[in-house]
This record gives sequence, C-alpha cells and structure tokens, in this order.
Amino acid sequence: MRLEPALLSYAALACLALSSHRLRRDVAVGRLPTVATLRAFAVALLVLAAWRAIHAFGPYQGPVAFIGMVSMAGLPLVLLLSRWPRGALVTGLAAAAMALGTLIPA
Amino acid sequence: MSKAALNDAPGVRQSMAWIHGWLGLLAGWILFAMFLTGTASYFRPEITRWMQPEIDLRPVTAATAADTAVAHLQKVAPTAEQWFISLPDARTTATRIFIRERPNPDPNAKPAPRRPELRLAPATGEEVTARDTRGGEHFYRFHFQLQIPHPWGRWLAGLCAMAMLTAIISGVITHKRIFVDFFTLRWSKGQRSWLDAHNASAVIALPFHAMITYTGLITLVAMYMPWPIQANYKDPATFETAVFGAEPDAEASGRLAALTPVAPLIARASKEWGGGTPATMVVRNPNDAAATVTLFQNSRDRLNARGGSIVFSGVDGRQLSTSPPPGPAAETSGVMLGLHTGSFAGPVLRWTYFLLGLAGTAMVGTGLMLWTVKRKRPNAVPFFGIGLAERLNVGAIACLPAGMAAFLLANRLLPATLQSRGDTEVSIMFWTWFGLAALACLRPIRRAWTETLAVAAVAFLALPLVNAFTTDRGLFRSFVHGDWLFVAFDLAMLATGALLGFAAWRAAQISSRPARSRRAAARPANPLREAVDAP
Amino acid sequence: MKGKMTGSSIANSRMAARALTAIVGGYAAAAGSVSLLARIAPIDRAEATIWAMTLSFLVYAGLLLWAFHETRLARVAATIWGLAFGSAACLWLLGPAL
Repeated sequence: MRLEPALLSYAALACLALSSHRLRRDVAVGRLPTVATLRAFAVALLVLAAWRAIHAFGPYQGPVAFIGMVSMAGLPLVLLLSRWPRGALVTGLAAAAMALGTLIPA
Repeated sequence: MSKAALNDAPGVRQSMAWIHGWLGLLAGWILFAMFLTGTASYFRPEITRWMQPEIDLRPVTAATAADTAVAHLQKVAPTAEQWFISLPDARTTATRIFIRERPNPDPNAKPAPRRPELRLAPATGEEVTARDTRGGEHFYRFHFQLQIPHPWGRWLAGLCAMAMLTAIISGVITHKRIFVDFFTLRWSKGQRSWLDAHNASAVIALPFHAMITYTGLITLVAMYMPWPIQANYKDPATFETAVFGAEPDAEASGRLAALTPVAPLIARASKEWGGGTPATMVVRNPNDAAATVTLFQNSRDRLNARGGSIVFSGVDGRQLSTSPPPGPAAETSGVMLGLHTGSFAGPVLRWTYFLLGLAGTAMVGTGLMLWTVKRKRPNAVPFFGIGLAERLNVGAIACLPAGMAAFLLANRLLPATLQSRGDTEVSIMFWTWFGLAALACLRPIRRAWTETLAVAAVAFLALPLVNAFTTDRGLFRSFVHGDWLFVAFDLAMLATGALLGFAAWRAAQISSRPARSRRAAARPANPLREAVDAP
Repeated sequence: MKGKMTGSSIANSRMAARALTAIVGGYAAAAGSVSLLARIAPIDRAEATIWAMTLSFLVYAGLLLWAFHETRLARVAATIWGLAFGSAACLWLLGPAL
C-alpha cells in the first residue's frame, strides 16, 4: 500500500510527541511507556517507513516520498494534539496497527 | 525582541531575528500568493480539464496519439517548417500541436500570422474545441510571473524567493528551540497561538519549504544567474549544445520525400530510454528530403525533469544523434527542477506535494499574522505601518482565495462564446481580489477579516452547486459515473470552503469578544502567567 | 543592527546603503565569484558552469545574511563590493570566453 510510509511516520511522530514532557502530562494515561522506549519506537517506525517508502516508490522517488510523508503526517498530528492530546495515542496506535497489518501478509 | 535586544550586543540570533521579521514581512504578501497559486499548480492539467468540462477524452498510447496528430498535420500543413506535437498522458489527455509556417521567401511580404496552438483528440486526431480559458495554466504562470509584464514579474518573484530562502535560514538560526517544541499548538492565546502555528507549519515541513524555495530559483536560473555561462562561453548556444545536445540542421533541401511513419520511432526511443515515453515530438521540414524527427523524453517516473532527446531522420528513420548523458551537475539541476514541479509524482505523492504546499502557504500566512499581532500588543513599540500591514494581510490571506474562486466561478458563468473569454476570467479574478481588498478597507479590521473570509468561503462552497447547474458533470453524476477528477475537484472546493468558513467563524468569535481578546493579548505582560504556561 | 531602528535620517541612509549593498552588491558578488569559479574550476566546462549556477543562490543568501548581521557597514561594503569588482576584474584579466 502506497500510504504505508505515511501511516508509519504518523505513528513515529506520535511516539515522539508522547515522549515530550508537556504531552505526557496532558495525556495522563497510567503506565505510558518510558521516554526512552517511545524514542526507540519512533526510530524503529521511521526506519520501517523509510524502507516501505523505498519499497513502494523505488530508490529515487523513495527518499522523496519518505521525507514528504513524514512532513505530511506531522500536520494532522499537530492539529489533533492541540484539541485532543489523548487522540495522539489512539490514532498513533491505529495508524501503526493499520500499516503493520498490511505488512504481515506480505 | 525590541527592548531587550536594544540592550544586548547584537548577537547572531538577534540580527537573524531582525532579518527574518523584515524580509518575511516585505516579501510575505507576494510569497503568500506565490505559495497558494503554486500549490494549486500541482493540479495544473486537472484544473484545465475541470475548466473545459465539455472535453472528456480517453487516454491512448503515445504512438497512437503521434500517428493521429501526424495524420492531422499532413492534411492541414504538409509543407510547414516545423510541427510541434505535445503528446498526451493520463493527466493532460489531449494532444497539443503547434505549426511554424515556412517564412515567405519574398522579404517584402507580410509575415504569416502566428498560428495558435491547437488541441486534438488523441484517438482520432480531430480538433477539439471548447470554451476559451487559461485553465490551470493561469495559476501556474501567475505563481512566477505575478501577472506583471516580462521580465519584471519573474525578477520580482525571484527576489521574493531569495527573501524566502534567507528567511528560512535566518529563521532556523534564530529559533533553535522550535525543533523541540513544534508539536505544540495552543489555540485562543493571541500572539502565542500565531507563533505556535508559524513554528509548527514551518518546522514540520521544513525540508519541503527549503527544497521548494531553492529549486524554485533553479527553475529560472538561466535568467537569474546567466553570468557563469557568459564567463565561460562566447556564444550561449555552445553551452546549450554541450548540455542538451545539438539541434538538427534546419535547412530544407527542397526535394520532396515521404515522411517516415512515427510509431516505430517512438518504439525505438522507448526501448533506448528503458521503457520511458516521449513527451514531445518535433518534426522539422516534414515531407522534405532533409526532414528530421526529434523525440524528447517525458519526466514521469524520473526525478530528473530534463529528459534526453533523440533525433531521427524523417525519411528513413535512421537515428541521427542522441543528447549527451547528463554529468553530475546537469543531473543535479535536472533533479532540482523535477523536485520543484513534482512532474514525476503519481497521485499519492502529488497530494503529498499539495498538502505540503498548503503548509508552506500557512507558514507564510501565520508569519504575516504574527508580525501584526506582535506589534499590536499594548506594550509593543508602536509602528506606523501597522494599519497598512493589517490591510495587506486581509488582502492576501482572505481576498486572494476569493479571487481564485471567482476565477473558477467565472469559468462556469460566462457565456461560452464570449469574445476573449479566457482573458475575462483572469480579469475577474483580479477585480474580485483587489476589489474585495479595497472594500474591506472601509470596514473595521476585525469585521473585515470575518467578512472577507466569509465571502471567500461562500464563493468556494458555491462552486460545486454552480458546476452542477451549468454542466452535466455535477458531484452526484460524477460520482455515479466514476468521474473521479470531477468528484475530487468538487470535494476539494467544499473542503476549501469549509476551511475558510471555519476561519471566518474564528475571526467572528474574536471580534465579538473585544474585551476578552484584549485581556488575552495583554497576558504576555504578566510574567507569572507566562511562566506557569497553563495547559 | 538596532541603531537602525531609531528612525533618524542618518540611520535611515545607512540602512539604505546597507540594503543596497546586500541586495545589489550581494548579487553582483555572488554572480562574480561563481562565474570566476566556473571559469577556473579544473572540471568539464559545461559541468563547472552548471555547478556555479546551481550554487550561486546559496552564496547570495549567505552574503545577504552576513550583510545584515555584521554591524560595521564599512566592512560590509568593502567586502561585498570588493568581491564583486575583484572577481569581475579577474574575469576580465582572464580574457574573453571561448
């Protein structure tokens, strides 16, 4: 699926956002993973997104698609965080699940 | 920064903040227009197709389109000097042809009038006629020519692009903290909110902003920076030949010779390009013994926007020459060109480009807002131009979208047979844009924001309705027929209208609560509140 | 930087001189220096020319920023106009292009 890198980037950025101090307080969910874990998740998801982008768009357009989609994924995330911080957690998980779900059969 | 900065030694961050603010402001209004119309231009052929709803063509292969175009040209201009054929792709759908007549040998004769570009149905080679319109080409041209006579529009656009480039660099140097804080967007906090929005839109899409600005300058580099060519070559044509390959000899022999079939040439070129397809075919001296056929590769599926070209003999189809393979520098500049235009992008990447372009527009717009909001704080240093800056903000941010909607509405509402119809559409855009901006000056600034944004919102929301009443390709019918271009266009107009409507509603909320907003604006004066930073 | 915001006429004319040096002089200096580089770079002529054109805006942007950052106007003017005229003189000494 061509939107996979965008979903994975969204999840990665959500992890990064959840590792910020302000947001951890706003989300107020018990047993949120530690900051280090979230950052590791974010890096892993970004690597996965880069790989899927190159897989879907080829070696030349792939990097362009990856950078573009990371940027694009940030826009709805910031808007969502401003209104519904906990939504970052929910939609981030959903995006990761959707993207990984399409990966497993492949 | 004003008071604190005056006491400090002028550090890099202060001077960069100063440059960022002033360059951003002075170039900002034009940059906003360039970003918005440029973003729309990612859908240039789609806008053109929407603006000529009577044309509904099905794509065919490049070889078929070339064959039908050549057959048409053999009928109407067999002895022309040159035929230019732009072959269609899935997005443009129509073949475009342009004929250059042989100059009259009699020097006293009047030169033949320049023939207009024609469009053909690629499957049949028949001429297609439709309402006269500039289509998406108008937004595209405006975004780097600004509707100012050549060459001044392009120079002004280039100057603004340079201002953008320096504003990006100085912005990054000034605000290193933005990279930590860019997830934060706080609503209804006056200046703080505009700063958040400016940071978020700038940082999230920073690679895009930097790329699009620099590559934008590169698209017109031959005009902006021709001096290295001048320094290295007595004749610029030598440079062109070295980079793009030699143009075939243009002299006709005067002996008749049948033109070779073009479809096999396309097949051979495609093989040479590893499956690439030609975008343009130029036939020089058709039906002459010295005829040549040049094929230029299209840039779909390649980052480099400058494709190669192959010259064939127009008599026996021999391959005469090929453009040289690009060196690292030529490849780099070609890729920069491709990155700017996004010509390689399929639907997913095209929409990505579009959304990032909107983020760029938002970055410029929020920057402009921030500039005025900052200087309207009760404790700010008064600035005499603030009123003008506010009016120009209304003119750019709210009235330009209204003008663009008026351009599209005019396309549907003007009679199809009107004289110089395409030009009238363009005039209507500018009359609406500048007229609305002038009218808004008669209103108090808060009301001006609400009202102009509401006008723009209504204009966009009206588009799908007007389209449904004036064509047979309304939203519902398009949906049923699977006409996804028209469905997407109508939905995009509704979304734009909704966004502008939301903005108008927010502006109305702020203007109906003057007391509260003044209190909110005064908040930064209270250091305790600022430090606590309520959630 | 900040002195220029006082609005006195001296400050205004200094600001105008600085802006002129930055925008016009910066362009001339960028154009001259990249042209000189394109001329003397020991690589393929066409390639050197394209590299020079491609990188010219980065040079120009750098000069613009520095012209507004450096407080001493005399130094800004001397450097930028010096670079512009210096590179033009070098190109002239190298003789006409082939």
